[in-house]
Amino acid sequence: MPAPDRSLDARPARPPRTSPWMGVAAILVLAATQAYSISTSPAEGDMGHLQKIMYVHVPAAWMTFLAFFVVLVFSVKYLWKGREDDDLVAASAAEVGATLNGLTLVLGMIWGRPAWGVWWVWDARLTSTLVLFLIFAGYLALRAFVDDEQQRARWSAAVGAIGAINVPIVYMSVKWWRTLHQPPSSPATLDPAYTMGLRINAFALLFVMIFFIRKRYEIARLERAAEHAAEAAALGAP
Amino acid sequence: MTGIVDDIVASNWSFIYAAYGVTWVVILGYLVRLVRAGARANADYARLVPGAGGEGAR
Amino acid sequence: MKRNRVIAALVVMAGVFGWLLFGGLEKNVVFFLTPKELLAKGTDGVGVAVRLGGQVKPGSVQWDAKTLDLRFTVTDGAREMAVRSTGAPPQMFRDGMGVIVEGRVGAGGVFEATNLMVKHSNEYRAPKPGEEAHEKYKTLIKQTGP
Repeated sequence: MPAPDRSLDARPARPPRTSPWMGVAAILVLAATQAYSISTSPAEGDMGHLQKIMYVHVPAAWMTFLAFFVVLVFSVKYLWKGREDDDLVAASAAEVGATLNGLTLVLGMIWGRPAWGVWWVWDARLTSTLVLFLIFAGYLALRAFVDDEQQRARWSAAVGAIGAINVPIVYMSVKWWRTLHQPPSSPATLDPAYTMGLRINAFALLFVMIFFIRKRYEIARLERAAEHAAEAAALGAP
Repeated sequence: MTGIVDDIVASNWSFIYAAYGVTWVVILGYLVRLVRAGARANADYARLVPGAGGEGAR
Repeated sequence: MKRNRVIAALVVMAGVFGWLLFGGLEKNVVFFLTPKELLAKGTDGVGVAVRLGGQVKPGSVQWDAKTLDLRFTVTDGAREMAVRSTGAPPQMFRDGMGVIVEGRVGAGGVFEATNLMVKHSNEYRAPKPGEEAHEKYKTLIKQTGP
């Protein structure tokens, strides 16, 4: 494994910053897509207005998958190249992904109670989604627990890469096993009125997620740069 | 068989409000967390990295 | 302080993983049996806690709002089973809907349900006038196991 890139030490210039306006814009777009889809989508034949929970639950689940895919890519990249920045991107995506994973679970429970009649069941889909959440909660706990930067980066890259393998298992669980949760909907099983609402809400949440991951990463880099500066100062002091 | 429990259907909106409410609590909560972590990191950076933004410089 | 919380989190996670490995998930990978599968067990299927899934047979639902007694038949297309439940079902419960009941088969061959869940399909359709709404549930239940 190559030595970690300490280029931040040699480059005391302030790390770049994403404009906070990008976040404001993303969040306003999300509010707009939600308002649009709540007000325009018709009651569904079986579950009536409850179908509207789809516009938050399903995008949250998709973005969870996407965030953990980012963790996978950057964890593998870290293990390969040993660049500190890749570790920080993976950590940022893991934190945002775990947050969205938790949101997906809670939204599923809120939807399940009126639609299925139960808050929770231990079927393959719900259980594997909870396991995914626990893996990445463990990932974040690991990062809080290990003090040595290199050790933390290496261990969490391993956990992140292996944990992300659970993503396709979660996705396929409803196809592989018999579950209470229904299989994924597609444009063929959704009325166009619902497809449009789902797509725009997914894109809006995608923008929010990208902003969150970028911002988290920039903060992590700033923290790291400050830490390195403090270390350098301590070493340089008589 | 429709309408076995019509009042449950009426209360569907409370589940819908709860779902959207939780979504916004999580999104805005995470945003607040980022803003606070960002402010802290900025302050540390300005304090520890001389010339790169300390003493009010940006 | 921070460490204690981390350790507590790890203990909880280890507990859940342990539970999943030792039986929990194995039992739940096949979340429910169809009437055909449950009946195939013969007397082995009687009196044990089990989940039964299928479609509510159209025309079979009898609901007594006074005693909260609910009777219906669950079918998988091949075989069917009478179910008795107590209490108001979830709102989506009706003829032709997918359903999963928890409970056990009584001595009389009637499934005594302690819990009733509605299984929704992945189809979402706005109702159209004159539409026959429940056709889609015929393909709801997978016939093959893992």
